[in-house]
Amino acid sequence: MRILLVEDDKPLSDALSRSLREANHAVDCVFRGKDALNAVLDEQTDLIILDLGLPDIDGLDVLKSVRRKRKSMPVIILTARDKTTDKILGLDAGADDYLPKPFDIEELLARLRVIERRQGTAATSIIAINTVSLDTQTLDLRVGETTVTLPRRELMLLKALMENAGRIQSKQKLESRLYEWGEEVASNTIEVHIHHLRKKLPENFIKTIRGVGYSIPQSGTQ
Amino acid sequence: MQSIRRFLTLILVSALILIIFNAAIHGYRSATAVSADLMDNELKSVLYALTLSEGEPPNNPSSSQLAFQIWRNNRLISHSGITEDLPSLASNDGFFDQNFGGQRWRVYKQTVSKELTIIVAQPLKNRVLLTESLTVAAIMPFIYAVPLLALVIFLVVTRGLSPLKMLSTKLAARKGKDLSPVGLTSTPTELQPVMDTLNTMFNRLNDAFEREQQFASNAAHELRTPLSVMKINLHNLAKGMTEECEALEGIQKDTDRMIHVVNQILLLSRTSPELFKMQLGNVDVIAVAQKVITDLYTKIEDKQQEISLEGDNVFLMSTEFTLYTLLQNLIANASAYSPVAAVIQVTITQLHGNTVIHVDDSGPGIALEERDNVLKRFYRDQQEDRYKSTGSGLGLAIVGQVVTMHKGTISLDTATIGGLRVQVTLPNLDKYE
Repeated sequence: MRILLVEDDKPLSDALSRSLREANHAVDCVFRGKDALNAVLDEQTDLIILDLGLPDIDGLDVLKSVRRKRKSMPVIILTARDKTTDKILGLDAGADDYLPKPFDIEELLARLRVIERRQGTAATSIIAINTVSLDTQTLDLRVGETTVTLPRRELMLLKALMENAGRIQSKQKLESRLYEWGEEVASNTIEVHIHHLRKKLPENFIKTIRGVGYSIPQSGTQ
Repeated sequence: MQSIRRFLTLILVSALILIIFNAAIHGYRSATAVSADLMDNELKSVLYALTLSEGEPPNNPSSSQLAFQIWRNNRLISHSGITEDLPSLASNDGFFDQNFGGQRWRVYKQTVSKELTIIVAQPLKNRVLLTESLTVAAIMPFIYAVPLLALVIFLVVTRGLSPLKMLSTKLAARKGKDLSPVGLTSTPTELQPVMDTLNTMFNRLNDAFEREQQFASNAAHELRTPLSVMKINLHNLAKGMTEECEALEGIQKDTDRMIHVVNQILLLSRTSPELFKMQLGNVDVIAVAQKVITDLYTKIEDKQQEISLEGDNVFLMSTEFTLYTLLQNLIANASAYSPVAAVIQVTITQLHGNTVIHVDDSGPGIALEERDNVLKRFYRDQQEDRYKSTGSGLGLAIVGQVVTMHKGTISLDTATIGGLRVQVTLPNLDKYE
């Protein structure tokens, strides 16, 4: 991916761009909001990593301008501010993700992969965890060597869980995703779907975190 | 001195009573003198009248008001019913007091001529009665005035002290660390310097307080970016290494610990009672707990620990941030202080109007005698090193602060699953004073 990194702190910008290049991304670095607004017009840019604390223009204003110019441009926000309201404002203003400093670089790379797959710009659209692999574009599911066919809504749930491997997906979050896909959601819908999914997948592949939600352990991701 | 108002009222009313009493005594004395003169003159006139009548008895000889004896050539020729010899016969002419007939008399004797002596007397009781009625008449208005004057004094003192009262009421009504300047609708000149000094002090305190709070927060914020750089550089360095390096792993862990401390300092400054009161609302405790577990899950999963949440429909007057901070610290501690593959159970229930939070773990627990120390700020458990946790010791202090803000309680116990049980009880008040 070609990433535009908007970060005024030179050492952080240097270190981060090195990590991103290491992970096979192309990185353009700018240090000011003004430069960021010009750089956005470059058609080559696939994603913006934006620091909210810029010296000239407030990061949130940069984000709003970016949204006006490039409507579907994925933006990940970095910030030293940590107020919940900042997070809400950031996501409201159209950020795709939000990482408070200091963040784990693996966490950032994982979120980049999710966006990449969603954009279809990934080198591979396949997520493989243990013996299970899912093509996020074609929704082809393979367990071991065998191809498994599942109803669409169950594949969608599995995709949501696999894309967020290592993180908990709450029942409410999964329900709202089913809504987004235009599915009818009853009170026990998620339980039923997970139950069906489990029958087709290796044992303990989907973990239940009682009272919280579901998760697929990250071990062996890609 | 307990109260200026009471002191002033008491002193003024006592002084007033004392002065009136003095005036009464003085009045009584002058009235006595005046009535003595008056009645002596009366006696003189009576005697003069008797002299004129030449021994003829007057119209009302048996009057109890006056008694007389007329002596001619040492023989009693006329009297007013008193026949006994008066010892005054032997005395000189003029006024004197004497006892006879069962009471004390004022006697006036005059030898009119060689053979005629007239004595007139009047009971002293009469004079006392006259004096008394004179004094009472003079003093009575003042006696009536005392309660009225006392009331006036009380009202004036109260009114005069009202700015002081208003100031103390305003100061007493302040909540928490309210350091805004005080103001009165009209400040008397005597109180102006006090107000000025007070407000200057408030301003300086406020500045100092804000600086202190800002400093911790600013310092922590400023550290975030360099810590990010450090973390990324270490990550890049580690990637470039072909074999494992113990020193690098050590630095990575220390960096994580520094990040943790910085975050904890920010949390501590942000869970201040002032902010808490400002943002109070009804919070879904279960939803917050779910969020905390979701956010902490990566770390829990790394240690292959099993976590579960139990509870349904628990709401509490609080703020989402404070509850998040509380639960985040409790659960992160349980995970950090428990070994790999431990079980962590979070239970949230509503009991008798209280929200009761249990965080149980199957870890090693805390020895009975050490539990008191655990709640102290910066205290770090000896066992920490064994499980290589990154606790900064601020965690339980933050928990303590949040519990105090809720007027709740925290206790440590042994969990049914073997390890430590941290129980936090938060009363579900409508609002906090």
